[in-house]
Amino acid sequence: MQCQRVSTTLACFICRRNMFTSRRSYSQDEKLHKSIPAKPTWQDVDRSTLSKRGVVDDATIELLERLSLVNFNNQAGVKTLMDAVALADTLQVVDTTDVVPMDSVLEDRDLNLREDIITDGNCKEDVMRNAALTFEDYFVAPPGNIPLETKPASRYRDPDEEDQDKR
Amino acid sequence: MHRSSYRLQAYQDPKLAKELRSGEVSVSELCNRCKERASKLNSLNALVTTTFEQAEKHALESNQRIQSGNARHILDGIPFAVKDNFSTKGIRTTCASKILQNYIPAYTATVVEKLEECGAILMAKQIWMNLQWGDSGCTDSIFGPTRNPWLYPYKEREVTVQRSDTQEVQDTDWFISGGSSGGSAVAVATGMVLGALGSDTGGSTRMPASICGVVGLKPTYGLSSRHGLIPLVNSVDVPGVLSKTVDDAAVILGAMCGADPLDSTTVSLPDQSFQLPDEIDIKGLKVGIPQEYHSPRLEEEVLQSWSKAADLFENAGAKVIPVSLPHTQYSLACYSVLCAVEVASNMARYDGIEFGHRSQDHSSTEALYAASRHEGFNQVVRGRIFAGNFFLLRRSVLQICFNLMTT
Repeated sequence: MQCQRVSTTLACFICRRNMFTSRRSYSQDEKLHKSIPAKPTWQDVDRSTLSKRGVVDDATIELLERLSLVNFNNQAGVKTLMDAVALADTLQVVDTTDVVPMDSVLEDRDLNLREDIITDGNCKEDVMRNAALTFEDYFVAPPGNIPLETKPASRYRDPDEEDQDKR
Repeated sequence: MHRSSYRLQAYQDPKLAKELRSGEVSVSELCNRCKERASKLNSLNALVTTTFEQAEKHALESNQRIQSGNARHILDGIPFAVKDNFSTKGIRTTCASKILQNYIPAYTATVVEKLEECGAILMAKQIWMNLQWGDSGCTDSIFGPTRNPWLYPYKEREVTVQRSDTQEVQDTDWFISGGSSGGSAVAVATGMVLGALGSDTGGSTRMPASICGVVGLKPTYGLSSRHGLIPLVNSVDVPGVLSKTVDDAAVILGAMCGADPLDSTTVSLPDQSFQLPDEIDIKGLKVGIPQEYHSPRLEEEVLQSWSKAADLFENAGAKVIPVSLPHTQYSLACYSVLCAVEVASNMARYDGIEFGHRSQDHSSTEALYAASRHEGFNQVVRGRIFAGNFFLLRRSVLQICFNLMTT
């Protein structure tokens, strides 16, 4: 049966054309196209010259755990954040004076608006279906207004401790 | 990574179209073949949930339409799969994460609906990285890593990958598929399906496509609807296409793009057919080579490929000129901040109450939230949430975020 050669593609519905017919193998001695720069073009950013640097101290760690409602887990988690902050700090070298902020990826297009007519609804069962715990059409939550106990950030000092908050 | 000398069966069968339309091959047979292949290649770990029963039913319906000359679209009868972050009504959608391990959406993503309306047959949901954040190897999911098929020996008559192939490939010796749409890339590369949807935020469709040797397309933001795509970074996410050829990608894109009243960030184009002409003439086309794309530590092979592409365009008649995109080197830092803040915002919905993993800690609402999220999120996701919340702190917003929007 023709179908034995399975790995078939949709291209059979449209004429195939092969725009690029030449084949080359690569070698380091191949001369680059004249438009391609031979060497990297990036400028180094000396982080020691950055004036404003993000600070990740114990108070920040405790605040972030409170806001994020997850824990860092170990020292590696804290280091990951510090690396992310250091990377963001390098953006200071870019002068953005008088540049209007972009607030939409679509730039100058307006987002589509639709008429304010109800087109959906009566889907209570769909909405409730995925909740692990419900009671008579209510989602169930434990008592609120009890602040989460904050654990001290100093528990992440130990680099060997794998998971400070194993549950 | 070296290209294995074992070649996957990746050529195209130019007769398939005619065979489907003429009835020599039925849609059911095609889907069965894809299903068999998926089963035999199970150890590549590309699929999370299969929908073979439903696919069988749709295949019969599609076949009837084709036989009676009423095929809905060129994609009618074609098996496809989608990454497991596209909502599919009644079919588990896990995001390869514990936090959504048993989540079953009540609606289907617009782009998936559009492909199904064309008659394409959904075969499976595919593995990807845990909530789309992790290393770019697609190794982070709760279902285990996805393996690149190019390492394994190919046998002409019997397409299978068995753990007993240890003479040539040790079980612990496998290549990454790339991420985060690794499962989709593997499924297309191996012929489990003929096209797949991934999602692309920072390369998540293009990277695994490159590593698995298939076409990966990130459409321009706004072309395809994100309704039903479980969001990571709303301002950068785009449903992406993986296929064997560029023609196929164009067909799939044409079928799934378009303005959607359920996603206000979609745009309409006057001509959305995306038909590629039979003969492509690029004489006079100006192609820019951004000088700043030569980044530090660029691999020699990539540099040579870049140069080759420039040569090819020039030989075909295009005008290839150097251009400057002066802020390129800051783009990764920009991306890291903007993504982190949107991720922190998007992950806030996972509290265990309305859907998703719910912990047993009922001492207080906040304790439940924290425990559910701790149990559901892996280290990498948490790292992004912390970074995002750091950048969203009052003291950081003006200093970092505002400057970013102007970079």
